Order: sequence, then C-alpha cells, then structure tokens
Amino acid sequence: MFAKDNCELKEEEESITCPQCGVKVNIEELESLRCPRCFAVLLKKCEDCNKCK
Amino acid sequence: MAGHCHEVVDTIEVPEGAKRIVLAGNPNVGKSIFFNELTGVYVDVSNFPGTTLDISYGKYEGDIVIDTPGVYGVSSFNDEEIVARDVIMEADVVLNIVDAVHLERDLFLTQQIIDMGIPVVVALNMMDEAEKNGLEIDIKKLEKTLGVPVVPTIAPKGIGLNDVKEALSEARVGKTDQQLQQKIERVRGKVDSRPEALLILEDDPNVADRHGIDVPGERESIYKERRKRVNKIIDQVVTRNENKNSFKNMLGRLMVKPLTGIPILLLVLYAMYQLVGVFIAQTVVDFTEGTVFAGMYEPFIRGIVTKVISAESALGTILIGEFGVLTMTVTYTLGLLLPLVIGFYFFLSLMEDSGYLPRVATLVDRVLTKLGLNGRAVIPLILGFGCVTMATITTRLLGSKRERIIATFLLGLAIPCSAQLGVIAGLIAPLGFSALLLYTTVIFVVFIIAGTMLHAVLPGDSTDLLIDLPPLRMPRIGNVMTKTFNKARMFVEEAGPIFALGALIISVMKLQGWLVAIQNFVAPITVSWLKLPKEAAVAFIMGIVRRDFGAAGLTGLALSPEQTLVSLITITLFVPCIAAMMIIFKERNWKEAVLIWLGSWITAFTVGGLVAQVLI
Repeated sequence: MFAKDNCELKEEEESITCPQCGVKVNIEELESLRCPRCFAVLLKKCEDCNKCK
Repeated sequence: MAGHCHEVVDTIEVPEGAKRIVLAGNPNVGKSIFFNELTGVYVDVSNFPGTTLDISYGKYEGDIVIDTPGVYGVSSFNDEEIVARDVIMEADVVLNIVDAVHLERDLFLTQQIIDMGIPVVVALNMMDEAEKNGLEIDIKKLEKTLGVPVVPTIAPKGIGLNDVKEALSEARVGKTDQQLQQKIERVRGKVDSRPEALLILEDDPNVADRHGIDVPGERESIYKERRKRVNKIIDQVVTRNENKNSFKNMLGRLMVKPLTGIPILLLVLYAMYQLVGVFIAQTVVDFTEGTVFAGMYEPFIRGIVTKVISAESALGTILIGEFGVLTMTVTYTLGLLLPLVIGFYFFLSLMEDSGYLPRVATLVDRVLTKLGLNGRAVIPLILGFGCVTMATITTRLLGSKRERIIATFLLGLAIPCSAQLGVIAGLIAPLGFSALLLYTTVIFVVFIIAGTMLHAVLPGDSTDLLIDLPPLRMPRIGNVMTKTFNKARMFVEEAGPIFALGALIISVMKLQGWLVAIQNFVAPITVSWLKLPKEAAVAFIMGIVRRDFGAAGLTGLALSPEQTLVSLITITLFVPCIAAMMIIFKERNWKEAVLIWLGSWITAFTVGGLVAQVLI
C-alpha cells in the first residue's frame, strides 16, 4: 500500500521522520498515509509511485 | 537552547494586570494580519539569541500581543517550535489562527493548545476560500466540540476582525479527552504547570530536562489519539461539495502536467524576464544607478570627503576610490541591486501568493531529481537569476545538507544573476541567434553535468518532494507589496555590510599592488588557453568581485564574435561574487566555500578553453 517509500524502506526500519514537521512516526502505528501531526503526505500510494516498475 | 527562549519571553515587559495574548497558528495562515490589526504596526522586535528567529510584540488595549513563528504543533522539533512553545506556555490567552481550507491540518495544534489548558479563541480564517473550495463548516458545532469561541474571518479583507477582538474577552479553556486529562493530572503531581505537564507527557526533552524527569514515551499514542479526535471533529463539522471542474481547479491541474505546465512556465518566465531583465535591469537601473547614484550621489559624497582628505590617499581610495565603500558599495547595493531585488521579489511574491510556486516545484520535480535535488530547489534556482547571494540564503529551505550543497554549487557555477544577464544580453545580441543558442546550450549542459556529477559523488540521500498544493488564488497586492518590502529590506541589511567588506578588501589589494600581480599571473591562461587578448585578464579579476562587473569589463575590449562568446561563457561560469562567497561561507562552511570557489575557477576555464579550442 505504501509503495513509494515502503519499497525503499529498509527491512529493519521501524519509523520514518516527517519531512514537514520533523515528528518521528512508527510505521506499525501509522494509520494513514499522512503525518498524524501536520497532515503532510508521508507515503504515496502504489499507483502514484510506480517506482518498482 | 530552550533556556534562552524562556529568558527572552521574560524580557517582554508586561504591565501590571495586563494579559499576554499570544498569536499561534500553522505557517501561512495570516497571523501577521491579525497582529497588525491588534497592535497597529510591528512595534518591537526581540531577537532570540542563537537562532535567526524574531518575535514581534506590541500593545493592544493595555494587554501585550505576542506573535509566534508558524508551527504545526507545540514541541521542540526545530527552532521555530522551541520559540513558539516557550511563548505559548507563558500565554494568558492564545488567539489561534486556523486556515479553514486546511482544517484537518490546523486543528491538531488547536487541540494541543486546548489540551495545555490555556484559554483559547479560534479565528477561522480564509472562510471565503473554504467556500470557493466547496467546504461548508458548521461553526456552532465546531465551537461546541472544541469548547472555545470560534470566529469566522476573512482577514485580508478585514472581515471578522472586530468579532475576534470582542471574543478575546470570552476566551476559555476547551475540552480535553478524559483519558489524556487523567494522564496530565498524574504528571501534575510533579510539575505545577499544566502546559509543561502535557509537553512532558508528549516526550518534549527540553521541558522534561527542566524538571529532571525522564520522558515517558507517550508521544506517539497521544498524537495518534489527538489525530483521531481531530478527524472525528472534521467528520462532524465539515461538509464537502467540491467543484472539481471550476476554472481555478482546471488551471491548477494544467500547471502541473508537463504537456501544458511547461508552456505555462515558459510564459511566466518570459513575463518575469520582461519585468526584471528588461524593464528593471535596463530602464530602471539606468536611472537609479546611472542618473541618481553615479550622476548625483557619488559626486556629492566625493565632494564632501575630499574637503577633509585627499582622494588619492589610502583612506580616500578606500572610501571614494574605484571600489569605494561610500561610492561603489552604495551605488551597487542601492542603485543596481536593490531595484532588481525589488522587481524579482515582487514577481516571486505574486507566484507565491497565487499558489503557482508549489505547482512549479511539482512540475520540475522529476528533472531536478536527476540532479539530486527535488522540486523545492526550483525556488533558490529561480531566485538565483535575480541575485545569487539572496538565492544562496534560500537554499536553507532544502531538506538535506546534500541538497543544499548541490544547489549552492549550481547557483555559484551556472546561474547568472540579473545584473550579469543584462550585461551578457547587451554583448550577445549583436552576434545573432546562433550565438545566443550556443551560449545557452553550453551553460545548460554544464549545469546538468555538474548536478549529475555532484549527485553521483556526494554521500547521503536527497529528500522527496512532499507538498500539499494550496488552492490557486488571486494575490492581494497589499500583501505582495509588504512581502516585497520586507525582503528588500532584509537584502539591504544582509548584503550591504558584506558588500562593504568586499569593497574594502579589494581596495586594500589595489593599494598593495596585488591586483596587478594577480592579473599577470592569470594572463598566460587567458592568452594561450582561452585565446583572448592579455587585457581580458582584468575582466576576470573584476569578476572575482562581481561577475557582472567582469562581464562589463569585456565591453571595452576589441574581441571577435568567437572571442566574445568564449569570454561570456567563461565569465558566466566564473566564481560567485564576493557577496555570494561570503554568504556561502556563512551558510555552509569555509571548506565547502573554498571547494565551490576553486571548482568554479576550474570549470570556467576548462569549459571556456574547450569552447575556444573548437571555435577559434
């Protein structure tokens, strides 16, 4: 689902830092594609990325 | 870092019985309009030591109104947040400015301030745009759910501002989630201040340190719950009737699609060139630099100085000589650069306020990714055509050190500033279109190769472009003028002293005879490799001070069309001007500044020489 960054994320990576507000978010806890704090798009959907193709 | 912020908050004098009314909100929600409305003007500015942040404060009906930097939440993820946090924690009332178009984003901060237990009034700003975007907001329900007064406003038109003033006396503590309330109460056993108790719960290391408490690791769950609460409020109060086919939405979509976006971008760049490169660089600067400063100011100041000291003395040379601190520095800063900077920032503010700039960033993102940058870098790169010095400062907005290095190097190497462009245009025009095409192609190829190489060799990763596109809107001329004025003032304050220092150094070099020595040292390269006359070396020495100065120095030489082209390519790729170098030194560090400087020397003479070998 979180293709763009998800396919780039290393296996052991557990969290990502929001590029807009700087908060660190646990990927497991992430309930949407957006940062829970500043609502910036953190991850893109597969269909918006297509990097793996 | 936190300590000093606290201290500065304490230095703001609050009269007996007066309240601290703190303005808080996300970036670009219109806080400054509210501040100006309440206080009249920017009354006082207190600089936070160790940061570049200013806090503005002024009086409103016996109370003190304090502005804060735009933040997404109260914590300590960056300098802006630390400053905003310490000011908000000391507030008696928070006037929270919320963008009605971005309610999901902004209500997180609102709810957080409410959770801090501080009395709040919410100004729900940009209601007109929310309506245009098909958003209907049930204000009564929002007020009831948050538990604080909510006032709809359209600040740029002055609508609702009086209602906000009246509501300030009705500010109250809003509703907090019960579970969070219990957690806060537990921490308040150790900490008196409720705002501090909440921030400790949210793992703010600075606040926890102040009380010698370990952070409890609750941030993520509290943020998650707050986000859920905000989303629930949005579901209850916002109805969407989006008109996807409106002209503005359609235009906005066309601007980011390559097929239509690139022609639109070219049109916009052409308009900018006409305004800054033609009208201001030629007509306006001819008047300000030639008539006002060189024609009137310089003779006047020379007349005054020569009454006291001889113009030929060392001090005379430094003050009113060829590179005089009181002559060349003032003429170049105010007569030449200031009009260009004003013109450029006026255009840029139009692009910014209309919502076009983020769309340009999105459009060029894919191309810039190949150079290790992302679309955001388009801002400093565009700015570089106005003034490389100013553009170097804006590389701060890039996401990583690596991107800042790449953008700074490309700016220093291959982006000619508007003053230089003016001189180049004058020299290249008589040579015809093919010369212009060759010049542009060489500079563009160097730009691409340099970016690609830096991308390949520099360690680390570049960041992705993640931006929310704001709605397209008609810019308000008053706001555009204010922005332009503030940026122009900042430019004079920042670049003026650096420029004076550069002029001083060059004058001393001239007095010591070092300028002639350097000229002789460079001359062999100029003649045998660049195939230019020996005198062209003088232009490159001048180019060290300013590249446009160097380009102007070429006008007095008898050059063939091929030699003109070679010399223009070389001077364009030549080292950044002294003012830009000083800013690069300040923004980066001396090692990177030296590398950029040497890299420019090597690139300019290598490329210029190669073109000379082919053409001449």
